Amino acid sequence: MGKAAVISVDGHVKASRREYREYILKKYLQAFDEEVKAAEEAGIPDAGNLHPELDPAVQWDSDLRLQNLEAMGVVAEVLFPNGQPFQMNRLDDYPRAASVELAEAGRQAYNRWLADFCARAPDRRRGQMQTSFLDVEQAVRDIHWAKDHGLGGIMLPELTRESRSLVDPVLDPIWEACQDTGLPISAHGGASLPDYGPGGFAALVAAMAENAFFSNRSLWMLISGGVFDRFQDLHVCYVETQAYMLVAALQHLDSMVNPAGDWMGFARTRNREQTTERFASEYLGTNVFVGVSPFSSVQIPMDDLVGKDAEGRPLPGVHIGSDAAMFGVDYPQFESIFDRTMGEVATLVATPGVTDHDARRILLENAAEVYHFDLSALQPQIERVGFGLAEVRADADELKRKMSKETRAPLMGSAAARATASA
Amino acid sequence: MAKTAIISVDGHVKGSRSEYRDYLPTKYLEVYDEQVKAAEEAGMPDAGNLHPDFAPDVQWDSDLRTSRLESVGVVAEVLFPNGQPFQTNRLDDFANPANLELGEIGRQAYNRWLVDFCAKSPERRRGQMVMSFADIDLAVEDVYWAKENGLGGIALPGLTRDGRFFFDSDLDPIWSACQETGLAISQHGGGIDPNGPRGSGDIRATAPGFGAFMMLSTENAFFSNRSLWMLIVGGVFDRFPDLRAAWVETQVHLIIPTISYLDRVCDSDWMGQFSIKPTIKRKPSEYFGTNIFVGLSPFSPRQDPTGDVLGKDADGVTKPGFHIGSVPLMYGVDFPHFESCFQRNMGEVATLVTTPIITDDEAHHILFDTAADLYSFDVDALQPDIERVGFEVSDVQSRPDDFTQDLPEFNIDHITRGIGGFGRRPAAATKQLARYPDGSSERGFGTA
Repeated sequence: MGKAAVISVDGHVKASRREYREYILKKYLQAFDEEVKAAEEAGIPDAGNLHPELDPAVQWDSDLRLQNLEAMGVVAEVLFPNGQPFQMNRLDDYPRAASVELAEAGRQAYNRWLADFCARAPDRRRGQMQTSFLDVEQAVRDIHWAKDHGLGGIMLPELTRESRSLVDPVLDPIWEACQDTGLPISAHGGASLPDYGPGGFAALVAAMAENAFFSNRSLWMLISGGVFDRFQDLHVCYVETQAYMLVAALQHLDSMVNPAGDWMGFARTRNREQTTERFASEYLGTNVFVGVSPFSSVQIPMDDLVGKDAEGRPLPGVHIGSDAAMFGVDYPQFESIFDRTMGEVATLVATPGVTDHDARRILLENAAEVYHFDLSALQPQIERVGFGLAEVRADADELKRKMSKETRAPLMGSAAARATASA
Repeated sequence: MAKTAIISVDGHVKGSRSEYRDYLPTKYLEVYDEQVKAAEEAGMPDAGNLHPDFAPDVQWDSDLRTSRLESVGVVAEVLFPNGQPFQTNRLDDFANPANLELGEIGRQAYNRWLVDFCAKSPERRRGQMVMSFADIDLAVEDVYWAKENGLGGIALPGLTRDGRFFFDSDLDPIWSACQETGLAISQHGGGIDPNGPRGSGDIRATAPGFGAFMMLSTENAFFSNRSLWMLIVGGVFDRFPDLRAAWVETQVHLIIPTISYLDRVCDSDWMGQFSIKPTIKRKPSEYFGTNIFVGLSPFSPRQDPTGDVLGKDADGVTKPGFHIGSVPLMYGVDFPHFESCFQRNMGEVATLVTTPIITDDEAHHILFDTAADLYSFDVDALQPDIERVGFEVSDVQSRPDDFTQDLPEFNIDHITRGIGGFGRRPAAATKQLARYPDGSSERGFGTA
C-alpha cells in the first residue's frame, strides 16, 4: 500500500491587511483604512487566533503555509477564516461587524480573496465560503458563486436571534443548492456563543462548556427536521465542535425515537409523529461527518472514536467510527496540534483495534470524498510528504515521545526555526 | 428492615381557576376573569400538563391528591407549579405571561395559594416558591417570606433574555438568604433558550412538526442544566458551602458528559493557556452529594439508556470517570404530568430494588432518605404514614413480577447494544409496570 498523509479539515486563513484592501469595494475603503490605522496604532497584530510562536504570514503566504504543513505530513487543507475585514471580535472564528452592511462587505471581500488563495494550489485547498442564511435567495446565489469560483464548500452561519431555526423548511432551497452543486456544509466550533461578560474563570469555563452545545446545535435540528431525508446527498461536517457532545446528542436522539419510549408517545399526543427515516446515529457516515480538531485523544479517546476495543470488537453505544471521522490540525491557531501532528497520527495508528483501513479513512479518505479532493492528483504529493502507516506504527513510541513539550523540535514557522534554518 | 416509602421530589400543583381568584388583588380580577372566560369558551381544560387519565382535581384537591399518591407508595412530595394565573403557555413549567406586570402578579398569587395548599398537610409537602431574579432585593425578601410562610425551598427561575447568568456574583445575596434560612434551591426541567434564534423561544406554541418537537426535547436538557455548571464554576458553593441545590427532571444524560468534560478542563493546562487559574476549590464533580443533588424524574431506567447514572457495570464494577452515583440521587414521580411514572410507579420501584448493583441501603437513600434530608422533612412525624402506605424493600424484591407486569417493552438493544438502564442488560429490563399495592387498576386513576 502506498503512503498516507493528512488532509486537515480545519485550517484558518486570512489575507494581510494590505492584501484585503484590494478585495474591498471602493465605497468601503475609507472605513477599512480608518479601522486598520486604529488597529495599528493600538499595536494589534495582523492576525486572528494565531499561535504566538508563528509568523502572521502563515495565514496568507501560500508557499510558506504549504511548506510548513508538508513538514508535518499534511498534504491538503479545508479552510475557514481567521479574520475578515471589519471584524470586531478579532480572536473568534465567527466574525461580528459593527453593522450588517459592513459584515456583508467584509464577508464578500474575504470570499473573493479566498477564491484567489485557493487557486494558487487548487488540488490542495478547499476554501469554505462565508454566507448568511438571513436572505435565502442570496444564500442560494452565494452557493452557486462558490461552486463557480472553485470554493469547496460553505461554512454554516451561526444562529443568532435573527436566524431561522434550521428545522424550518423555508431553508430548503439552501440545502437543495448544496446538494445540486455537491458542496458540503461545514459547521465550525465557536458559533453562537452568548456574551458571558467580563473574563475570568467562570465566564471562560461556562463558555467552554456551552460552546459544545451551541456549536453542535445544528446537528439535531438538521436530523430531526428531516433535512437529510429530503436531501439524501447533503453532507454536513462538524469541525472542532467537541465530539463528546455530538456523541451524547446522537445517543440521546436515538433513545428518544425509540417507538416504545416516553417521548414518542408524548409526540403523538401533540400530533408530531416521527417523520425521520432513521435513528439519528445512522446519519453518521452518510450525511454527517465529524472533523475531530485539534485531533487528540484528549478530545476523544481513540477506541471511543472508532468504536472498537483492542481486539477490534465493536464497543456498545454510539461512536463516530472510521467512516465519519476526519482529522483536523487547526493550523495556525493557538490550540493547534501542528507541532505534534505526527505524534497524534501515531497515537491513532498505533491504537490496538485501529486497522490501516480505519487510519486511512480518518487521516485522508473521508475528507477527500466529502470535500472532493482528487486523491490521484494528490498522489505525487502524498508520496513526497506522506508517511507509511507501518513505519509510523513501528516508530509510534518515538513519535509520541516527541509530543511532550521538552522534546519537541522548534516550531515550524517560528522565530526559533527560522534562526536555525538561517544559521 | 422497617418499611420505607417514596418522597417524590417532583410533583405539580395549581389552584383551580375559581380558587386562584381568591388570591388575586382586586384590581387584577377583571383581566383575570376575562382570561378565564376566554379559556373556558375555547374549551381549554383547567389544567397544566395533565395526564389524560387524571381528573384536574388532583392538581388542587388536597385529600384526593394525598390518597392517589398513597396508593402508589408515595408518602410526601416536593411541589412545583402546574399553571399560574396569567400564564399563556398552558403546558409549560415556566410561566410565560402576557407581560411582566401580570407575570409578577400571577407568581405572587400562586405562591400565596401554595402556602395554603401545603399548610393543609404540612408534614407531607414541600412547596417550592416560584422566584424571579429580576430584582435581587425583592428576591431576597421572597426567600425569607418563603421560610416564614412554611414553604420548603425556592424554585430557580429560567434564564431570561439578556438577564444575569447564574455565576454573576450580583446574585450572592440570594444564595446567602437561602443558606441562612436553610432552604434548598431546586431547578426544574423545562428551560428554554432566552437568546436563541426565531422560533426557539416559543417553539412549543408555534413551530410545527417533528423537528421542532425533537429540538425542544433535546435542548431542554441543556437549557435546564445551565444553572448547574454556572453555579459550580461561579464558585457559589465555595462562597456558600452550606447551600444545597437539586436539579429535578433536567435529564441526567447531559449532566454526566458535561461534568466529566469540566473535570478534564479544570485538570488540563487549558486554563494556563488563557493565564487563568481555577478559582473553585474542588473539581466540578466533587460538589455532588454535598451541595448538588439530582432528582431523577419521571423515575425510570429509560433516563439512563447508557447505564451511566450509577457508574457501575452489570457486575457491580465501578466504571471510570464521573457518574452521579446513588448518594445525590432522588426519586421523582412527576405527578400528574403526562410523562409521569405514576401508573407504573411500583414497577419502577421493583426495577430499582432488584437491580443487582444497587444495595438496599442505596435504594432507601434514593427513595426517601436523601430527599428527607435535603428538603427538611420530619422523618419521625412521617413515620406513622410510612407504616401505613409504605412497603418493605425485601417484600418487593421477593415478588418483583407482581409489580412489573404489562409494561410496554423497554427495548434498548438498538441504542446501546450493551449495558443500559441502571446497569441491567437489556434482556432483563424488558418488563415493567404496574400493579399497585392497593390492587387498583392501572387506568382511570383520579377520574372522579
